[in-house]
Amino acid sequence: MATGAQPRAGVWTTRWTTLTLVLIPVGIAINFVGKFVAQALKLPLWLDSIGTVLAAFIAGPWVGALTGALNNIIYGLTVDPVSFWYFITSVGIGLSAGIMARLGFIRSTARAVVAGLVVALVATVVSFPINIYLWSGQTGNVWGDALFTALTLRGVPLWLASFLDELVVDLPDKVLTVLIAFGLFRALPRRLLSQFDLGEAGHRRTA
Amino acid sequence: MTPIVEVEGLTYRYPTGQANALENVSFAVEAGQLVGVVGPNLAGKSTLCYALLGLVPQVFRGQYEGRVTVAGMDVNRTPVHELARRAGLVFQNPFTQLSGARLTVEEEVAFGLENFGVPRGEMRRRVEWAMDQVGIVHLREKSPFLLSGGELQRLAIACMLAQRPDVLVLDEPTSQLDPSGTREVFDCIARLRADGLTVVMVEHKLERLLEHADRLLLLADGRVRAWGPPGEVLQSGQLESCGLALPAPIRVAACLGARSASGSLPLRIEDTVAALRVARLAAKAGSFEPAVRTMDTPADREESRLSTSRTVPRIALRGVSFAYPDGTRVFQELSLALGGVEPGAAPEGYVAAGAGPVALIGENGAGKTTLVKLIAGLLRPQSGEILIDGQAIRAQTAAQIARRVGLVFQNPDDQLFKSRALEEAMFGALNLGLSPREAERRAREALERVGLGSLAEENPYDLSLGQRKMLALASVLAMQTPILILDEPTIAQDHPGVERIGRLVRELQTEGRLVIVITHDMEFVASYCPRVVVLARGAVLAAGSARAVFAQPELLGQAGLEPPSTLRLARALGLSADPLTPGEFIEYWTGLGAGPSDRPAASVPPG
Amino acid sequence: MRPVGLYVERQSPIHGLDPITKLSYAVCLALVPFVAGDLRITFVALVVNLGLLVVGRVLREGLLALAGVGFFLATLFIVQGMVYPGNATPLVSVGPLVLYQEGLAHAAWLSARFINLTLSAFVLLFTTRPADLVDELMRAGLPPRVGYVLLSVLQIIPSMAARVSVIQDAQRSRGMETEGPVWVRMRALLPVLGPLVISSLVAMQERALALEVRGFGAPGPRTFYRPPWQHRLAWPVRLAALSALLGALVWRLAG
Ligand SMILES: Nc1ncnc2c1ncn2[C@@H]1O[C@H](COP(=O)(O)OP(=O)(O)OP(=O)(O)O)[C@@H](O)[C@H]1O
Ligand SMILES: Nc1ncnc2c1ncn2[C@@H]1O[C@H](COP(=O)(O)OP(=O)(O)OP(=O)(O)O)[C@@H](O)[C@H]1O
Ligand SMILES: [Mg+2]
Ligand SMILES: [Mg+2]
Repeated sequence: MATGAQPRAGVWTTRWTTLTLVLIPVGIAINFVGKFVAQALKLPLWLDSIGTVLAAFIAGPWVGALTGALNNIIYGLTVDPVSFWYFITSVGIGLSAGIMARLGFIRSTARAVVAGLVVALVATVVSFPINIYLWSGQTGNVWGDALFTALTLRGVPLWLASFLDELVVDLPDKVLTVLIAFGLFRALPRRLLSQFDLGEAGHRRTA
Repeated sequence: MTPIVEVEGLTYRYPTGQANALENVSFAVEAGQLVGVVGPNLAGKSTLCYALLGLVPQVFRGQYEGRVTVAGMDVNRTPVHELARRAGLVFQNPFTQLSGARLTVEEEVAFGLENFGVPRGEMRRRVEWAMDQVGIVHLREKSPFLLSGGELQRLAIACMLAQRPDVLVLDEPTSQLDPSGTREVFDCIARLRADGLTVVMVEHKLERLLEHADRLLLLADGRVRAWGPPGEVLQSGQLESCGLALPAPIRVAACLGARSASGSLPLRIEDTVAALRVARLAAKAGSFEPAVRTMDTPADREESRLSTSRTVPRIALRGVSFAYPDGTRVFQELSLALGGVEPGAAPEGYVAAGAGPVALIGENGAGKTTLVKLIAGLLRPQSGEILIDGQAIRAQTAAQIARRVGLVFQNPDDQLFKSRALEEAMFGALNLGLSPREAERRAREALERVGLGSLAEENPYDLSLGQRKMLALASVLAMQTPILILDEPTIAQDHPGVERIGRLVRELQTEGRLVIVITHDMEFVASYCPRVVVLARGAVLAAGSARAVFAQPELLGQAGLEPPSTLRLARALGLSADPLTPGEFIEYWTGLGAGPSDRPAASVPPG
Repeated sequence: MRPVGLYVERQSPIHGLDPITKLSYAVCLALVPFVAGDLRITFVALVVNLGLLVVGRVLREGLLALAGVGFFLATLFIVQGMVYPGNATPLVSVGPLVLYQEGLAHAAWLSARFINLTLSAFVLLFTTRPADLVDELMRAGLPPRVGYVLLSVLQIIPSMAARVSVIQDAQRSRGMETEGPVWVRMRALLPVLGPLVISSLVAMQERALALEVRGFGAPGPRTFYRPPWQHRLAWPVRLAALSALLGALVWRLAG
C-alpha cells in the first residue's frame, strides 16, 4: 500500500502529532528569547511573539493559537502573573498569523508585511479592552502612554485613545515580528518542513 | 517458529528525497536473534531502523510500499506508542534523544516507564538496573544536559534498556563509547538475549558484530546486498565490494592464507589465532606458502621524517586546573606538552607526546573534549597557564586563538549555524579577513577535500550526520590554521570516510601542521597517529609513541581502552613483537616464516 | 544553567507545602480584590501575602522583584491623575499638568490590586520549583501532553540560554569576535539568534522521534517516578483560601 504524497492543507488543517506538540514549547521559548533581546537592547518593542507566529506559520492557526495561550499561561505561572490576562491577545496573534500564512501571505516579503499589518490590527483589537479593564486604558509603553495622555487631554474618548495607544506600539512591533518569523521560516531545512502540512505557506518551498 | 520481525518488499522514499532510501528490502528475524546491519554511509540503515518502529512512514511520511511487522503488529497501522511497548530504538545521534523534560539522569531513564504506567516500585528497580548496565549510576543526580558525548550515549541506551522491549533496535549505539564501554554494551546485550531479547543493530564495528551476530544484513544504496550468517556474508566478498573494511585480524588471516578448519575465513580473533597456529605448524612442515600482499602503510613509517624535534612545544599546558560551574572537577594541576618536543627532551614537570599527529584517547568523561576546549580558549582554566608556540593565551580572545588553532567539535550540530554549506565553510575564512573570492576558493577546496564538493548549496541540516561532521571539518580546514584539533572525527563515517580523514591527517602533517585527534577508534590511532596521550579521570596516564603506549595493556585497561586488535592477535599468539597494523603483522609473520628472529619489542622496524 | 522562574532554594514552612495547595492559595488571594472591589479588603490580602513571604523567607527577593514594576506603577499615577474620567478635585499642578485627587485614588486602587496579584503569585513562585508544580498538576489530572509542554518550556529556556553560548563558541572558534567590551558582545548577540531558533527547531524534530519511541502519548494511566507530595496542612490551607474568596464575594454582595 502507498501512503501517497502529502495532501495540500486547507486553512484550518492541523496534523496533531508529537512533532506538533513539541513545536509548542520551542515556540514559547523563542518568544522568551525575543522578549529578552528586546529588553537587553532596550528597544521600545516587545518582540515577544516571534515563536507564536513561527509556530503558526509552520503548523497552522490552531497550533499558533495554542502556543500563544500556553505562552501566557506559563509566563504567568513563572514570572509575570499579569500576562495571564493577555492570553487572549496571544491567541489572536497565533490564529491570525496562521490564517494569513495558509492564505499564501508568506510567499514574499511584501505579502509578509501585509500579514504583519493584519496581525497588528488583531492584536490591538483584542488587547485594548483588556488594557481598559486592568489599567483604565494604558499599555505601560512610554510612547504609547504619552500619546494616550495627549489624546485623552484633548477630549478623545477613552476607548479610542486606548486603541490608538495600543496600535502605535503594536504596529511596528507585530510587523517586525512577522518579518523576523518570515526570515526564519525561509531558512528552515526542507527535511523539517516536509513533516508538516504547510498549505499555501509552503507553496514556494515545495514547488 | 514465526519470525518476530518481518520485512517484506519494503520500498520507501522520503518526501524530499530524490531517490528511494530503501528499495525492495526483505528479511526476517527470529526471536532471540541478533541481526547486524552494515553498509556504507547513506545506505539506508537509519531509515530501516525508523521503519521498524513505524516512524517511517507514520512520522516521516513519503512513499511507502511493502509490509513490516514487528511482534505481530503491522507498523504502518499501529500507533508508534503501541509498537514502543514491544520495541525500542536507540537513535544514531546521542545528542538529540533526551526527553527535554527531566532534570536528572535517573528521572530521564524513568521517563518512558512513566509514560507506560509502570508501577513505581518496579520502575525504581528497572531504572537502577539499566543505569548499572551501562555504568552511569554515579551520574544519577547530574543534569542530562551536562554530560559528555559518551555519557549521553550510555544514557540513551539505558533509557531503552529500562523499557525492557522484546525487540531492540540500535543505530550505531557505541559510536561515542570507549572500547570498554563498547564491550560492556555488547556483553549486556548478550545477557539479555539469553532472556529472549531480539536485537537489530547497525554498527560499523564489524569485529564485534561478527562475534555476536546470528545474521548480517548488508545494505548499500537502499538495497540488500547480502543477507545471511556472518560467515557467509564475509565469504561472499560483498562487504569489500561495498567499500567496507574487514576487521584487522580477518584481513591478516585472508592475506596470510590462514583458514579455519572448515576452510572458511576465521570470524573471531580466537579463530584467527587458531588458524595462524595451524598455518605456522604447517610452515614448519614445509608447506607454508604465504600469499603476501602489501596492505597498510603504518603511520610511523613517516614518523622519523616528521620528527623535526623542537625545544618549544606547539602547545603547552602548565599546571592547569579546571572545574565546570556545576562543580564537576575535570583537571587538577595538569601539565602536558603537545607537538614537537620528544618525551625525553620535555621540560621539567611536563609529559610530552612527541612529534607527529597526536591521538588523545581515554575513557568517556575523562576530559578530552574539555581539554581541547581549554586549548581553543572556549573554556578558561581556573588556574595554570596554556601556551601556544610559547605564548600564553590568557590575554587572547577565542577568536584570536582561532587563527592558530582550528577545532572541530564532537557534535557537528554545535558547530554549524549557516543555512548553506558553502557559507558555513566560508565563515571562518571571511573572519580571517580574506576577500570573499579567496574565502570562497578556500571553502570550495576544503569541501572538495572532505568529499562534499557537490553539496555546497545544501542546507547543512538537510545533510546526514556523517556529512555534517565532514562539513564541520571543512569549515575549519578552510581557515588553514597551523594547529588542527579534531574531536572524534570518525564518528558516523563509513570505512572510506575514515580513510579519507586518515589521509587528511597525514597530508596536514606533511604540510607542517600539528594535528590532534580525539578518538575511540584504536585502529585509526594505530594507522594514522604515531603519538598518543592517554587521559583518565583528568590526568595523563601515559604519553609518547603509539607503540610504547599500546605495549602496556594494564595501563590501557585503567583508561577503559584496549590495544588495536592486531596487537591483541600478536599477544594471543605469543609473539614478542608489537605490530600495530595488519601490514606490520604480516611483514613480521612472514619474516618469522623465513626464520623466527625474536627481536626486542621496541625495535621492531616500522612497516 | 539556572532554571527559569523565580524559585529561591530555601528551607521554610512555605517551601515544604505542596505546590497544588500553594497554587490554590495564590489564585484565590489574587482574585479577592477583583471580587470584593474594595480597597480595604485589598489591603488585608496584601498584608496576608506579605506575612507569608516573611514566613517563606523570601520577602527581600519579593520586594526587589516588585521594584521592577515600580516605573510602570508611577506612570499609572501620573497618567490616571491627569486623565481619569471622574477627575474633579485638582491636587497638585506641575507646569501645565494637573493631577487630580480622584485619578490618584483610582491609580492607587489599580496598583493595590496589581501588587496584591503579584505578591499572591510570589508566595507560590518564590517557594516552588516550577517542575514540581507541573509534576503535581499532572498527578492531579492535568493531561500529560499539556504537562509535557509546560515542563519542557521550563527546560528549554535555560537550555536555549546554554545554546547561545554553544553557538557563540562555534562562531568564536572560527574567528568571530564575541568577547570584549559591551558593544562587541551586543553586536555578537544578533548573529546568534537565527541559528539559535533554527537549531532549536531541528533539535525539536529529533526529540519528537525520541519521544515517540518512549511511549509519549500512550493512552492509559501513567505513573510517577517521584512519590506524591503530601502535607498535613494541605486541605486546611486550601479551604481557608477558598473561604477568603467566598468572604470577598459576600462582602461585595452585602455591599
Ligand atoms: N529526513 C530525511 N529526509 C530526506 N531524506 C533523508 C532523510 N533522512 C535520510 N535521508 C536520505 O535517505 C538515504 C538513506 O539515509 P540513511 O540516513 O538511512 O542512511 P544511513 O545508512 O543511516 O547512513 P549513515 O551511515 O550516514 O548514518 C540517504 O540518501 C539520505 O540522504
Ligand atoms: N557543560 C558541562 N557542565 C558540567 N559538567 C560537564 C560539562 N561538560 C562535561 N562535563 C563533565 O566533565 C567531564 C569531562 O567531560 P568531557 O566532555 O571532557 O569528556 P570526554 O573525555 O570528551 O568524554 P567522551 O569520550 O564521552 O566525549 C564529564 O564527567 C562530564 O560529565
Ligand atoms: Mg544512519
Ligand atoms: Mg568528548
